[in-house]
Amino acid sequence: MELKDLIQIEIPKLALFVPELIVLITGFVLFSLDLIYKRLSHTLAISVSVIGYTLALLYLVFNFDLRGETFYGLYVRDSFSSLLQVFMILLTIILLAFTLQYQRFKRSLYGEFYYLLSFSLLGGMVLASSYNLLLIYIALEAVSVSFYILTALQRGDFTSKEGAFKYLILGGLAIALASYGAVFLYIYAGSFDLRHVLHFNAPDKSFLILGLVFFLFGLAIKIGVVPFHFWLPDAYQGAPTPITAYMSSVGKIAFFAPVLRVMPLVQESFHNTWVLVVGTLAVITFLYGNFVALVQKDVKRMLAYSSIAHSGYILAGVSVANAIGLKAVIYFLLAYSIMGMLGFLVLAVLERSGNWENKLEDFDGLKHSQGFMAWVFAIALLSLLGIPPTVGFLIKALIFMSLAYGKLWWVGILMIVGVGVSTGYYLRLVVLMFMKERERRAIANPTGFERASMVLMAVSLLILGILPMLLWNYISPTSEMLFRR
Amino acid sequence: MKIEIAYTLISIFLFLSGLFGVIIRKNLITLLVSTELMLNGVNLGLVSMDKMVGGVEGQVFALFVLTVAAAEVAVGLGLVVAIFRLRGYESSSEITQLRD
Repeated sequence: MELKDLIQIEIPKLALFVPELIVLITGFVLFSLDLIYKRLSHTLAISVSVIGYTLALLYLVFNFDLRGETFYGLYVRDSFSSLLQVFMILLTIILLAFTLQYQRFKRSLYGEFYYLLSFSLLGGMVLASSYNLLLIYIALEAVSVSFYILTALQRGDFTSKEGAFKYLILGGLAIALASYGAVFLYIYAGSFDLRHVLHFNAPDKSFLILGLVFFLFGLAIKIGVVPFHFWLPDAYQGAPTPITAYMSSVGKIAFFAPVLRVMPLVQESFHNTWVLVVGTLAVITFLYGNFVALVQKDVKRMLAYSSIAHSGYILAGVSVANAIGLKAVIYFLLAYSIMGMLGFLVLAVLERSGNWENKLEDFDGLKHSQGFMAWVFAIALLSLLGIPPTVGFLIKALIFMSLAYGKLWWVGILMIVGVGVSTGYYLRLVVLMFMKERERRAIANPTGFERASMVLMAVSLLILGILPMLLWNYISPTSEMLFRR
Repeated sequence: MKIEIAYTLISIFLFLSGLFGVIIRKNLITLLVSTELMLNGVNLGLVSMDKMVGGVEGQVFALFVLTVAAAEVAVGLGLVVAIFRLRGYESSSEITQLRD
């Protein structure tokens, strides 16, 4: 027998993998720059990252119809992965507009920040485009380990280290649970490919259900679903604020991507178990998140709890395992990533003014001292609450419609209760900013780049709410494609 | 008893003892060791399942788990050192500055 027949290895199609390669090379370049220069100029690091990410983004946008599998079935590029990756890269570029001033004021982001950012972005991009448990495991760890370090980057601040350590321990627990789930799935089907595992039909399904429960609970800890949410408010509050924004947007898209890949593959035989488990988790999550956010005095922590509540709404959509549910969930995830990021980025700018502590009192009469920031923050908050012209209303209505279509009335009604409760804390903040008369201390001015990015995000929140078809035309075929797998 | 079953039971025992360690213990180093114990349980499970199923993918997975766990524990120990520097060893197990 010829040696060539014995070793049947084909060369992987690297054309599908180019955006990731560009991000990886950007990370390595930043790493080398950090090694070469003793004090890396932040402007240089930011320009290198922006150039790298823009190249990756342009490649993705111009080759949006690229489809196929490479690396022997480990890596899948389809419209789902391209869509999520476009959003992740865009949000990362927007984030970089805010880091320079924050670093100048807080002296907290070092050279590590830039390459860890690109490594976690790479992990998120791979996570959005794989069905293989091995690759999902590695990408999950790439994102998480970068996040642990990024959370701890605030120099000399104990809360930052505390949040990072809690995140690390619960993240380690999550990864162990998820990989034990992989063990059970491996016993069940003898393969690590999720498509193969979930289409495999054995008479005894107990190992499949056990494995899926472990795997999903592992991911649920990473997402911050309620019985396992303890790390999330601490890590979000302790982390430097631009990084909180990053974790709540790009991190959320990345950690939800494997769940959304599993969701269309749910079979008829364990559909009821899926609905019950995911639906219950969703209800507990958004009710708990909204009620606890009501009593928070710290606005950053309040937004962290609102992020938990929004994970709950997304999970409510996930529990409806049909195409309509998936469309609503993808729209919700992408729109939330913009809203959540905008909320935290406003805080990142406001923190630059002297003795600002993110307390509720600090927001008294913000309209008079810094009208622009007040308006942007109000749009973000109203969108998080779900007031009609903004996208927040649309996505909540979509989730509710899909719940009604799936006959999950109990989840839908409790979701309305949750949204009603959330009115309390979002509107209180808006009222404080606009109705209070007292003039607060001088507020730091946002730079031109920051203004432009915030306007862009706020306008996109309005546009996505008024003209949903812009995004829906991409989402709709994507979710139908995922259901044909 | 078949040897694979015995190894699987040991793996479950390792995993559960790590889980209880994470839930019960307060000491920072012990917490880190507990998460590593869970991952080692996963490794043993993967390798013994390979024997049962007759493949090699589980062993490849186990190699990756070993490598990545090393990276994670390096970050964890770095954080522990940072916490000890800021707080001192004695009071380090009461890290409850952030709470509702």
